[in-house]
Amino acid sequence: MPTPSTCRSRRYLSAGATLLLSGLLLSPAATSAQTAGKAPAVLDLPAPAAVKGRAGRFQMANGTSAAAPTVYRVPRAQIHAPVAVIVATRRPERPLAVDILKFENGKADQTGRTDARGVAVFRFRTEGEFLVRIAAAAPGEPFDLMIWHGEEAAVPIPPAYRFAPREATAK
Amino acid sequence: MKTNSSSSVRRLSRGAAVPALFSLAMAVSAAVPAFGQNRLDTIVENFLNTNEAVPWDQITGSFDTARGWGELRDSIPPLNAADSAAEPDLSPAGMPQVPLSCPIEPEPVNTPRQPDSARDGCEPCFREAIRKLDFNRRIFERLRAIGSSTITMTKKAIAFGDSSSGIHAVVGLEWSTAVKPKIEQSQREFKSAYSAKYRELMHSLEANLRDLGRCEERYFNNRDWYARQGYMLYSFMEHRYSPDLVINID
Repeated sequence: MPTPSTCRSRRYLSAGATLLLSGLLLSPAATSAQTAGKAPAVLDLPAPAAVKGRAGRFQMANGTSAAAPTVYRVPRAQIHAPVAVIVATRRPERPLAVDILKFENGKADQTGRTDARGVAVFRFRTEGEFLVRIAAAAPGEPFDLMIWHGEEAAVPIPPAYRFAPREATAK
Repeated sequence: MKTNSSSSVRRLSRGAAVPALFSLAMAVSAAVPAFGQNRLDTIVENFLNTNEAVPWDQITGSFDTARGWGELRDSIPPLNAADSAAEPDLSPAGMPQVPLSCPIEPEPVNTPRQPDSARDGCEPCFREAIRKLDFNRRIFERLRAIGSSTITMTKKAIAFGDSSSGIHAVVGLEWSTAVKPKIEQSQREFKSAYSAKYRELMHSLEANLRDLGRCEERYFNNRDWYARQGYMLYSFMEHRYSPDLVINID
């Protein structure tokens, strides 16, 4: 049976990446070097949970924009399962910027804004953890975040063998 | 539909201790409070009802029921290039197909199955051995996905730290003497954990192939099948999932 060691080390690495950034961000010198002067906290979402009558699993959060972007960490996505990120602002006339990225302060892999309806939807597949970064032009904008994790797709497995006829000998 | 392999690999994380490093790193993290089950049901439904402009299908991409991998792969893209590299590839270029004497391929549709004494005798033995072999192949592929995506992400984080550490002398010192060595140590530990899992899976693979060899010997008097045929696949898998290839941190 598999041991937990691989994932434990993986978590170490994930933590290491956070530590890397936290080391930079917590340092007084680093803080002074930040233009905003306020490092965004990374918020861990509760584990995904099933919801009655809906396929897949869900994570929900709500928040209010601050001076620095709000960052949510979503761990343990799987590459063969779909993920959707939905951000909804309660005041569509004040759009929110939303980034999907793999590590904090890294380059955004997907980026967008809430639309005229006040909603931004992202759909993708990824392996491991990802981050959702939400920023507003001004503090105090309330928003909701929903993460949907779809079912894993069954990946077909081509045969690793071929038939090479021989005469059966068993009784 | 959940695959056995992914469920099995997911179990890796359960019960894992939270390392001290993780606790330290979490100094800048906070947890969003979890909702109770009934409350989550209500919140999700309220969210979806409040945002009726976003139909359920737009959220799920019509993937709210389990669908085939090909459809999912073609419809919903990976997030980035590292995720593309982590996509399952269960038929990689150069993978050998080992010859088996038992005709166990599925019958063509609408063709009546003729009695076949050779197949009827050998099929259960071969099918069970192949089932175990395919299960192992899936686990190998999950291991590769986890390994490659983790290492890619960490390399990017290190590259970011290296480039940012020049901004300020104190930051640079902290990065090079405290933070970076810990990440590099974590990388080595991850490679070590990957290697342990790899060895375990290679051991299982050999057992799977030797089971097939026993079927060959029993039903077709084909001795030494593992040494002459099965080893081709063993050797290929040994290279494809090698820690030095997947977790290249040197």
